[in-house]
Amino acid sequence: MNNGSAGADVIIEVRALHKTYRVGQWDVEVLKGIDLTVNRGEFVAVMGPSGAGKSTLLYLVGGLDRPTSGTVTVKGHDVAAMDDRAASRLRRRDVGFVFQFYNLVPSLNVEENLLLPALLDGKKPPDYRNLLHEVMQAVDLAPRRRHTPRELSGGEQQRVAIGRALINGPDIILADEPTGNLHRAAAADIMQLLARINRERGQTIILVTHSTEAAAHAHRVVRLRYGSLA
Amino acid sequence: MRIVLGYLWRTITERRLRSLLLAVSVALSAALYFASTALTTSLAGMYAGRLQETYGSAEIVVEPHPRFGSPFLSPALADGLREDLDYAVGVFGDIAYYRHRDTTVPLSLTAVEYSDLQLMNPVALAAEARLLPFRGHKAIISAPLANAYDLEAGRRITLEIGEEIYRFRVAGIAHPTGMFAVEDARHVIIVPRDFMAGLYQARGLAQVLFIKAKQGRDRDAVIAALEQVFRRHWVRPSVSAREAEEWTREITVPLQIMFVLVLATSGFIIYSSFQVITAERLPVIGTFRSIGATRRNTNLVLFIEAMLYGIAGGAAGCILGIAALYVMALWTTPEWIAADGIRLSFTGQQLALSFLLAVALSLASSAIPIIGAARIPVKELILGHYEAKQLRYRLRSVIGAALVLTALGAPALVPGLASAVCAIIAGVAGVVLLAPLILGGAAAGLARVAPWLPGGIAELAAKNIRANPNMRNSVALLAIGIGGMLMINTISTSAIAGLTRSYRDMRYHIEMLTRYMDRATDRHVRTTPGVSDVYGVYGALQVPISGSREAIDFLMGIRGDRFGRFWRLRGSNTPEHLYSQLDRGRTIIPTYALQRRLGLKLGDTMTLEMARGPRDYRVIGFFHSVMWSGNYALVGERYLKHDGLQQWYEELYVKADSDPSAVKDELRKRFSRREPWLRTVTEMEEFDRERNRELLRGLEGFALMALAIAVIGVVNNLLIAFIERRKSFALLRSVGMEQRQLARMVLVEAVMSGAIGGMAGVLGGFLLLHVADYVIQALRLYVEVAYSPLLVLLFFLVGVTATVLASVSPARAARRIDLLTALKHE
Repeated sequence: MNNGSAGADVIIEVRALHKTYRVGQWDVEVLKGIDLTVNRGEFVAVMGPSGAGKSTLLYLVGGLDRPTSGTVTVKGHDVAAMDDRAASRLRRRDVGFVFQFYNLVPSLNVEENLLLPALLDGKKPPDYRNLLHEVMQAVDLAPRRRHTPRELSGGEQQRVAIGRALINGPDIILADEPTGNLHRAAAADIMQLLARINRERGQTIILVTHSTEAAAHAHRVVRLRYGSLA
Repeated sequence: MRIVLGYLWRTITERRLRSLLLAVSVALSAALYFASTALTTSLAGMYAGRLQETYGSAEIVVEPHPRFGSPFLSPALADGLREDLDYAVGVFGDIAYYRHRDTTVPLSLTAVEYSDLQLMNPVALAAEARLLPFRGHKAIISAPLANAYDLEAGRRITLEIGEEIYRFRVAGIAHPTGMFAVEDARHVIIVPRDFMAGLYQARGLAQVLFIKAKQGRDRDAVIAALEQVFRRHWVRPSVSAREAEEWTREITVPLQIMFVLVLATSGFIIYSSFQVITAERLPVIGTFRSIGATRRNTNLVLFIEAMLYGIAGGAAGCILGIAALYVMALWTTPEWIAADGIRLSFTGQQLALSFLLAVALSLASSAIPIIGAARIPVKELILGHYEAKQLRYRLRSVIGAALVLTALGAPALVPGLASAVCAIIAGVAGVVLLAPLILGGAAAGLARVAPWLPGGIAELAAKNIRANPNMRNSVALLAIGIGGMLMINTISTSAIAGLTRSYRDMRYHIEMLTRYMDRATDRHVRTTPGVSDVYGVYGALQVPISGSREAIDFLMGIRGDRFGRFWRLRGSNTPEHLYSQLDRGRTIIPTYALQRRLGLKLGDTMTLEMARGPRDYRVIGFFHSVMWSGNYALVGERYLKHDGLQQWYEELYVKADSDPSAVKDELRKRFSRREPWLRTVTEMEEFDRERNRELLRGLEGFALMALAIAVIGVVNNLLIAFIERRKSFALLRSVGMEQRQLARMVLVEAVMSGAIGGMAGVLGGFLLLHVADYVIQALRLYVEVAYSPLLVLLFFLVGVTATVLASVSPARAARRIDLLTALKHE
């Protein structure tokens, strides 16, 4: 078991989490009974070798996948019990995802990519105008607002992805190897941005990474090995 | 090579739907090309065959000219040219009536020497009785007539000719071939020429001379020589190839226009599919190039793939084309030609050309994407750092706009069929090139409105369609498909509406035609029960206009005081008081169709080649009519009678004060011996409507094909778009999009792109209609094109509905995307 400090405001609670995938004729158990508690405002880094189940854990917390057994509670709600609509709302409002390969829509410009979750949440221009300005300042992309992803560097694209994760003001940011595709300077820049967001906005961050330099920005590091916490 | 073919086979079969679509597009183009070219040959062949049943092997016909009075000519005049001629056969013709108990059967009588008949158009006898010498009161009748009235060779029959009764002996019963094959109107009877010459007191003369030039003699030169001899007669070819070609042109040219549309649609589908195919193959091409393959090698593989689609489509197109040819011939061949059934005639060369067209279409349409892919440097291919190169947006739009302007202006500047058909091709290409501009503009407009719509989905959808190349392709395909359908349907409904309007202008109920109609006939009709009024009009057919190669199909001579009671003419310059002016001088009121064709203005003088020679008529007004394809005009009755040597009424208009059908039957009974042609106005309208409908049904069928392959192309585009956007959909789901929202977004995109495609289709339709008007003119047809808002709305909705239906499958698939797999796939 690897818990946060007792008595603090718990935002994510994972209990006896198992996940098994079927690969061909084999069942592969990726997570083997994980217990994890994350407090509000905490910055947690998850480290471990490839295939340890780090990304799977993140996807289960974010409602992108369903556990084989066990529970994932986010802000007091059981994610596994959520239907598609509730899980989608969770991802829209409470959780922001940042991926290794940015996953931006190539045909949309920076501003439009940033606004995606707001549009999906039914927000109208008066509702999101201030939010957009605020996020644009936070990720420092105002001069590039009309550029499409292919006109940006890798670091800039990742800043767009972070901005998109922030647009609806979620309490949790789930970042899956956000620096894995970046050179050293850009990676440092992105980690400083995430740390600043955590410090200034109080958003909880779970960071999956191989990089010890990236993990150094976290309050706490949990290590996964063969589907279990080390 | 075996490895390359194996690779191609696997890639073709992996994408079965796309491969099928490509082959079907090519097949439809080949089929339509074959059907439109072979239909010309078939119709012209049937037309010539039908006429040849009358003329036999005769190539030239000499007839008396009405301008020179005498109804006879002397065959001896041709004696001077004996060395150039195989034969010159003199013939008389008339109507005879066979009296059989209480009935009188009208017969088409030809009087000819038996030896001449066997030279010109041999008969095959089923039975004979003392046939030769074929002189005096002997007759050859057809087997169907003999069967119908139980007649045998040697029996005597009673015939009435010129109101006299004669007894003839049946000397021969002929099989229904040659002259006896043409019995759809009435039975044929052949009697000796000396009998009719005696009856007409025209010994040594004939009414018509049928001539065959000797083998190897130039027919036109022989005609010229005959014209020198028969100066007061009309010498013409019996079956003119040009005449047959002109006659078939009004059917085949619209088909060829549809072919252009189908060709453009197919070419565009192949082009856009090969853009995707080359994009998919770029990594493999990179691998091939990295191990030493040249650009030529990799291009060859892709061109072989294109050729395989061409070969498959070409083979299927030839088979489909023969079926289409049969259906088209069935729909378009007039009854009088198809009486013996539909005879298809096409050549191996036509089939081979259709097949080659299919292969060429496939290769040409795929060339741009293939050559574009070949230009990508090998390093970029291997590293995956390439972008599909497209014609620059601005350049594309400028070329598109230039082509549209060419389509709008060229037919007016350079009149003629070729220019109009080129304008249609330019118009279609212009619309295709302008599709991104139309899509970009419309999507930008939608994106401004969309934020205020509920759900946030519409804004996203508007943004998605803006830059999506597959949506551009869909818009271009819909523009061609819907444009073609809108054009054909507008012309079709306009033609039928024009007919209806013209029939509404008739203020009488029955039209009657028979020979030798005069005031006595008028009085006789007037006394028929149910007849309230009668008006006889004089008319001249095919009146040449001096100084041009044009002729007025029907010149009607009217009396100002009576005509208005039987006809209402529409036109800004044709109030009915103009009719009285026709009585006071050589004035003329042509149709608007003639005005347009001849560039006439009020006050112009038209010189008409009348029977008495050239006469000047001053234009005093114009009127709308689609009768005679709009090629007719009104002049004063007294001038037509005088200048045109007209003795008899051409038509009688009858007003009925009871049921017109019953009055028509009464008239038929009363005039049965004169075998009148009688139709109620309602019947004529229905007949014309059906004839138009049959012709247009064929065109609509092909327009529907163009739309169908456009819709299949849209389905293909949406499926490609779905495959390409699988990851985008997954990422939208990862940032909180619900399955329902995703499906709704795909549908909203379909509605928007369908609406833009529908709009582009309507604009394309207007453009095609503008150009089609010139094609109609060039074909000497007349349609008052009326734009129907209902049709425009209908085809706009067709665009939206087709795209929405096409998006159902991608929308369902979008709901079922495996999120993690799609997100991890890079």
